[in-house]
Amino acid sequence: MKQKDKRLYLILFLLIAAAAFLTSGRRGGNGDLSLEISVDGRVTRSLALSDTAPGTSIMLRPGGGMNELVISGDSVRMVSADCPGGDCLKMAPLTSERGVIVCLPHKLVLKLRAKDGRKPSNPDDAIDAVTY
Amino acid sequence: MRDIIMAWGRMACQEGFGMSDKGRGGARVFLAFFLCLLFVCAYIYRIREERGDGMNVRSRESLAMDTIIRVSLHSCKTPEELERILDGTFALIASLDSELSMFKPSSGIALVNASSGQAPVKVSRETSRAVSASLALFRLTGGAFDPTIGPVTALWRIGDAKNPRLRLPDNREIEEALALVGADMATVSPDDRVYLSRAGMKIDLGGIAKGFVSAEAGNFLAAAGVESALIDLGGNVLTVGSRPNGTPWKIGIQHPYRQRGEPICSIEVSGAAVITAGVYERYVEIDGKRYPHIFDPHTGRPVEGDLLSVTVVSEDPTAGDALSTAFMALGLEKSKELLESLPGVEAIFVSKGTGAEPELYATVGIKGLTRIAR
Repeated sequence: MKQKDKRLYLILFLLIAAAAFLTSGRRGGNGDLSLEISVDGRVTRSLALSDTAPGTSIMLRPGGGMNELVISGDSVRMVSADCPGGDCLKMAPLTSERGVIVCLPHKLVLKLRAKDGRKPSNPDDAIDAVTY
Repeated sequence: MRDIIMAWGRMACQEGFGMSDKGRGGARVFLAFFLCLLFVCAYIYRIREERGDGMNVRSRESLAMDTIIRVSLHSCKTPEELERILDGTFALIASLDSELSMFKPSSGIALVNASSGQAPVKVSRETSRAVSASLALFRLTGGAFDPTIGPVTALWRIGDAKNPRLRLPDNREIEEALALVGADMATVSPDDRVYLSRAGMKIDLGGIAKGFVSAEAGNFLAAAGVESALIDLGGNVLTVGSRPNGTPWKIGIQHPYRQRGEPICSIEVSGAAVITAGVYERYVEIDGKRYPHIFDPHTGRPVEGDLLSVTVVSEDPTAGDALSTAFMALGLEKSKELLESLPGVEAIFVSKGTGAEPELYATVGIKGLTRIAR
């Protein structure tokens, strides 16, 4: 291999490495997200999604009530609850920092949080809030 | 790419790079400098992407006003300053909630209701302004929004999970409640005294309170120097400024047939409120029929018709909140007539339509409307 070719391959390699560095972690799933569980305004539990096995079911007893949630890899959903109305069961699964699941009668809030200091991932085409 | 680099290499050779020992040394220095610069730029770009161009982000959720409240701040201020601003915002919201709720016995509104037909009641400046705004919107909408709807909402008890209505109220009950509805029987004096002239009247600011509170919170954030923020009071959204990167906020509008949080479409706004009234949100089901929590003040009954939701976009959240309720009562055609007299107010109507999916109608001033669900 000629010296000139070596230089060209080196430049190409470095350009690709720089591009990979720029784009890494921007669309990389929810490895940096943790589920925050709050009851009556106080955070009672926080667990990293990446440390939780898919299909993990968590039973909560907020204020004497019952709520069951399931973590499925990159999403969290409420699967059962004994609250009147069951509004929390009608909420879309959490998949990003923008969503929230609330059980008002049990004063329970589920939220995904990004790693400390990291800006919430919010590409230009993402929805910031939903009016209902 | 290879061709470009080869061409660059050839050009460099022709210009003397690599032609002599001195030239080769210069090319190496140039190459090393170029690569260092490339990585420094990449690193700075990456850090700016993650940190948001020097912007700090703080958000908080809390349960109040019988819903979830979320406030997100994006600002060059320090994280500690933003936390203090959030403290102030939530304290303001809690204070206004305790003044405007008809269900809190010590609230200004509850005291006014308890003294209806007897004497004016001195209320806080904020309560006075909220009631005055609601009376102005009553007049603007020709009574389609009426803050004295309290006797009707108390009769139907829609959304009251602890004490749900199990049978429909009869005509006599509805007529009795309707006789106590009429914002033209309510007055607010310049010294903040609110009076309901007929005993049994009740102010219910449920159709305007969240809009009023988000307006107050928005003013608080603006006074605190926050450039970019999102206030979400149980689906009543107020945007302050634009996103930190200067693009408009993208707000989804709930799909009436799908799970909470799944939008049917989205719009783009900056410095505006996006507020929705929908029949799917809170209702009671009696004998297999759903009755929503939005009332027509002229009939004393829940609204009927093809409209599933109305979203109002305006700079004034207080007006947006009341107008979304009024448009549900008016229906599509009458709402269009009223909208023509309201500059700066835009709306999106979601109706049942003829197919499986709802139909959308939007005023021409709506920006960035994108249908998501089909």
